[in-house]
Amino acid sequence: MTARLIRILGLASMAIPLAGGATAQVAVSASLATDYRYRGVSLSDGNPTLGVNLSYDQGAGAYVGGSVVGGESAQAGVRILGFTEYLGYAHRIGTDVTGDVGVSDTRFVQYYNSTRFESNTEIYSGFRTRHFSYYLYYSPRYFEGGPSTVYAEINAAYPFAPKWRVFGHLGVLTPLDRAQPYSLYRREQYDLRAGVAAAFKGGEAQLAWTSARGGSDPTASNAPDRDALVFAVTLFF
Amino acid sequence: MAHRILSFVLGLAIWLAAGGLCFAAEASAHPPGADDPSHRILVLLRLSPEHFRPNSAYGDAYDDGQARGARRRIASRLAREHGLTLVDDWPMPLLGVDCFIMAVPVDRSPDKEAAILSGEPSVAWSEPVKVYQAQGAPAREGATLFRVQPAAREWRLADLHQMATGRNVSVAVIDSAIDTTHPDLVGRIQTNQNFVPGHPDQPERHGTGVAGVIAAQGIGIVGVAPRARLMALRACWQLAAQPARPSTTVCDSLSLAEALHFAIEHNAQVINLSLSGPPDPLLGKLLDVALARGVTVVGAFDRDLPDGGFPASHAGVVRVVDESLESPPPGVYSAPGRDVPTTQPGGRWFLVNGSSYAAAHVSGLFALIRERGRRTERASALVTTRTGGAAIDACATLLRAAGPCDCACAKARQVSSLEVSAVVRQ
Repeated sequence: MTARLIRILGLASMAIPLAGGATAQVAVSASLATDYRYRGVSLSDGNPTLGVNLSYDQGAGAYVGGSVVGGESAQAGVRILGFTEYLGYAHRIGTDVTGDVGVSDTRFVQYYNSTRFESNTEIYSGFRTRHFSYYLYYSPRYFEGGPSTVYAEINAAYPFAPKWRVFGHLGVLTPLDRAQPYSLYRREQYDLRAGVAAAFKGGEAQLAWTSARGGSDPTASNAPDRDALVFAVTLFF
Repeated sequence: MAHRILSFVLGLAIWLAAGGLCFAAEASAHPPGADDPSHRILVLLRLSPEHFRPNSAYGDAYDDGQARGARRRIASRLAREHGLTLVDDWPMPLLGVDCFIMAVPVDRSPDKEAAILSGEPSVAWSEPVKVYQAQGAPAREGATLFRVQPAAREWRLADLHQMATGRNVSVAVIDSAIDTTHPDLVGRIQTNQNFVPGHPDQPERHGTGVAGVIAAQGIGIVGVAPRARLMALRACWQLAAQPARPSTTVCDSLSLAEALHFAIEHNAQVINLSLSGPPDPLLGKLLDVALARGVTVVGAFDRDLPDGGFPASHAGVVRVVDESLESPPPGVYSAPGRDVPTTQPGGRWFLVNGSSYAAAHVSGLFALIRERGRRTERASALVTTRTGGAAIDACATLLRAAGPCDCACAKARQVSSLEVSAVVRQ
């Protein structure tokens, strides 16, 4: 598992041309959150988690990054709960719009009788403005046994005071192959997130309400609650 | 294995947190001279384009804090390597840069340090903080109000207001502190921001006077655009009067850049800059962004500086001088700017002089033009009293923007045309 993560990040780093290394930036952050939610669904059984995020921006638009989240697992104590790695290219179009394409791989770890990974690889494309971002993600297989899916999301944020902003998110996961007899995702799943963020020196705090509706994801049905208030503190290094 | 990874992650987080605290301590330990704005430089680091960044705080779309942290580390390293002190930072996404303010030791030249840092690969450019001066002469107290307003006569203000009053047009006044409680300005200020927090927070003459010329609502005087919405952006401050020197108002390029950035981001339609100084790359780039977005930028022409001083010298900026200059250079417009009654702090009114107030008149006029909905944000929208002249014919300017109307301005022009025709026939 770890070897795979390192291999992916290593290969991705090598794939990025070093021509723009002069303005390359390595960004690191650590987040403490009261819950680990992926598209509205808790993957930490509502328990607090610690995440570390690392990314490398080549300067001319190419980027690679990854994050790891750990926390209390219901079956096995404190464990790694998930990984995400991504590789992409962003390009600024004028002063207000940025286009973004890439591929991401998200894996969750389940600790029942044995350690089991569920993986979702997606290609994504979207664009960002100062206060909005819009993304589409295509997955050929949405986690184990899942159909091919498209996930569409819109995010918005607005600073209402110095160092304060409100934000909102709406995402829709659509299965493309509903005829699969054993598919766990046969109808749309919606997730919402809305909250307020406050910046402080070297970090920020967020309080957000999240919700997931629809879908037939057993992970979601097993979750303690489809609605949750999540508090997170992130330090930027 | 998972335990070991988690231990590693926690250890890494603690180590990085300690590093962050070290940065904070370093940034706060200012050596002597670090508070002197004239010994500061701006170091602009390029922003990488914002991109997909999955983490527990997903769903946000603003201000990539993780990338900012990376740039702060780069700036911290540069400051350390060059013996400078990192004072502050603020992002400027409009230009794709993060601006870091660094203090230069008193025994070293800010210009030289900026030039050296400009050669660093990670630096977009660096420049010393420059000083600008407001273009208003000392005020003197006046007793009469509207009937002595030059614009009331020369610009036929009452006639102009039959066509437009600047309703809902947003005008940014980048200046010293405005008296937001002045009876002639109460209710006209939609935003009040201070970009020079280190100076006493009290109303000041120049900013209050400029605001009154643009948007006073008729208690004592009538502004050119009395229904415009003002953005009071304090980027300048008033220096105390000395025995040999009257009170002056100054600004620096950093505070001006912050105010300009704010005005552009908050969709100001007209930006008034009644000040002048040396050309500045950062301000120039921000002006280009504003102009590209269709914002009207009005600058005071300084007859003592080459090419009128900056920002008036910047391409696309409407350049305005007060009418006492008999033959302004081509492309420079003249407007009322002598013995202008306007608002002053403390609910008073004074007479003022200078190109600052001429520029304010033109900013108000553009607010009227914009109310009429025409996309005429540049100097070409202005009509002069005679071909090739500099004095603005406000009625003709607004009529051209608004189209034909049964209003006093139009009737006056018809009478004037008839008189000219009669003279020609004779």
